[in-house]
Amino acid sequence: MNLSEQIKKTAAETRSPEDTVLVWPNLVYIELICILLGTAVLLFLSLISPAPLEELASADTTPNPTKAPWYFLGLQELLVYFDPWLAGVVLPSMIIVGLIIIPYVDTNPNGKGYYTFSERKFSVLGFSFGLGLWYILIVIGVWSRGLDWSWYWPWSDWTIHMSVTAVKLIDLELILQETFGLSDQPILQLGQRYGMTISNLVTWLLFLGYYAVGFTIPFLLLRKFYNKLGLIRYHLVMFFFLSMCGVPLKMFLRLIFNIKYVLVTPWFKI
Amino acid sequence: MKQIFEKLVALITDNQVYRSVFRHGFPTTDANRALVMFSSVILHLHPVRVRRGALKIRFTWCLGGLTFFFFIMLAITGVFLMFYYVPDTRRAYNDIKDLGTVVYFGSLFRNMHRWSAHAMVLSVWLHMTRVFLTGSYKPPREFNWVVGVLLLVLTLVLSWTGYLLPWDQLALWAVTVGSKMAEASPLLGNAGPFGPEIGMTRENDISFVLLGGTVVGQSALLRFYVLHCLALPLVSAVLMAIHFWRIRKDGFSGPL
Amino acid sequence: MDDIWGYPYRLGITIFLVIGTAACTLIFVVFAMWLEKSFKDDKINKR
Repeated sequence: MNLSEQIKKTAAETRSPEDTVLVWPNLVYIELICILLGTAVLLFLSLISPAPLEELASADTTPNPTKAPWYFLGLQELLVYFDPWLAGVVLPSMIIVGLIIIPYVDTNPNGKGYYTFSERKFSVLGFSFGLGLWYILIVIGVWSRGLDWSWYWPWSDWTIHMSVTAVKLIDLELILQETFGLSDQPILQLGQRYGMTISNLVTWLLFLGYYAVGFTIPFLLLRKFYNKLGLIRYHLVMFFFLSMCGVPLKMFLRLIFNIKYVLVTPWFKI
Repeated sequence: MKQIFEKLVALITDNQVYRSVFRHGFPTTDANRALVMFSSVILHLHPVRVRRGALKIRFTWCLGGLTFFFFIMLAITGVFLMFYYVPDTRRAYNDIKDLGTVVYFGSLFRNMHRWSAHAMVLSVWLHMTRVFLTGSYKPPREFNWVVGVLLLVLTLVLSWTGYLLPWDQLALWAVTVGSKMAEASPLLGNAGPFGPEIGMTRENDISFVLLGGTVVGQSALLRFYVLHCLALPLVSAVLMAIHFWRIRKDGFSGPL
Repeated sequence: MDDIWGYPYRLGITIFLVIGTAACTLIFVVFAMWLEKSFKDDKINKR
């Protein structure tokens, strides 16, 4: 097939009754304008706001606070509420894996290639919620965290240290122990380092119960949703969805009830 | 006037050299406008025709294209910066200082590099949001979404590795925060869950691999430099090629 | 009450977090709804 035949064939294939236009000049010119505008904006920003260069790096003086680049500040903000292995490694990995599986678990055939909220309310709301959380944490990290990573309002005096001793954080299992007068003796010895007390067992049940209840309720009440997804997809969706909701939940437990860890083991704390 | 112009055009285009590069006339006729898409390696990322709705900015917001543009911008300004920068802890900081004071257009190029990096991170996020909202990841385009997520991660890592290079306080401590998190990785870090149990120490864990040492020092600077300037851009370029190729093969999802 | 309002303004942070997250979420949802409406008359839109 020579070139002109190929053109005719391609043109015929792509020319639908819905009236198409040639990419050159219609789309190519839009792209050119985008590039020119982009260059102009970059030049303008470069001229009015130069890149910062602070003092020479020195391991002897630690700046206060030490802030990561702005796009990681959401994760750094999570360090207030979670241990580094969760905030810095597991949660970001779960975000990445969660994003990757989206196309494989979204079985809704509607909304392919056009904007719609009404035809896919759950997925748009869920995704927007995740994004909303991500962006608000960055906003907090950039504009509300000052000395010692303490919270500063825009009207606060950012030059004085906040008193951190005002907050006393306590583990959930100790709260349970005190409230219900439970024994602090281990009832189950798991290895040399882990003696499980009753209250510790209860925190395990609460933690796993959060997922168990979360998995069960939609299964019982929204059977259509379950049937549409099938066993594997349903569990993947619910696991990531519940984990995503668990992040702000833990933050509220800590902010309102002073709970430091929900679950404590010798190896990891959540 | 018109005759002179036409003669000039003929002079430029009617010879073996020009014909060896461009195999057709100006894209002023429909045939040539189609041919330009076939014969240009850059333009052939496009189809010949698109639906009229594709021209609406508010469908794509040009975000994917802008992200690619920022990447190109970063490559160009980055190469320029590489001429003047040596990843040696004793001179890296001064090299950056020189860019701002001695080198012609040095600060402009550095500022452009920095702003393009910020813009690329943001436009990648927004592009992903747009692709989600238009459901463009749905079958048969699942795999391209996966490639896109990997490119998103690469963009962040590229930006983060570049953060260390000026070797100022901002750089050192931002990267220290990150390496502390790596130390806390489950299984792979010396301070993470089950890390010490399987034999992780400060000398063999994931943070040591990343930094080439236990603190952010010369080997970390060199590693980040090589990753930032060579390894990660190469991987990104390969993934981008796949990303773009898949768009053409799978077709555009919407009116595009 | 004092230890809820006292430093570090924990009720204030909580309210800021809730309202902020809701506002950010709403921006994306309203964005999707606006674009759904604005493309409604485009027949070429849906295939």
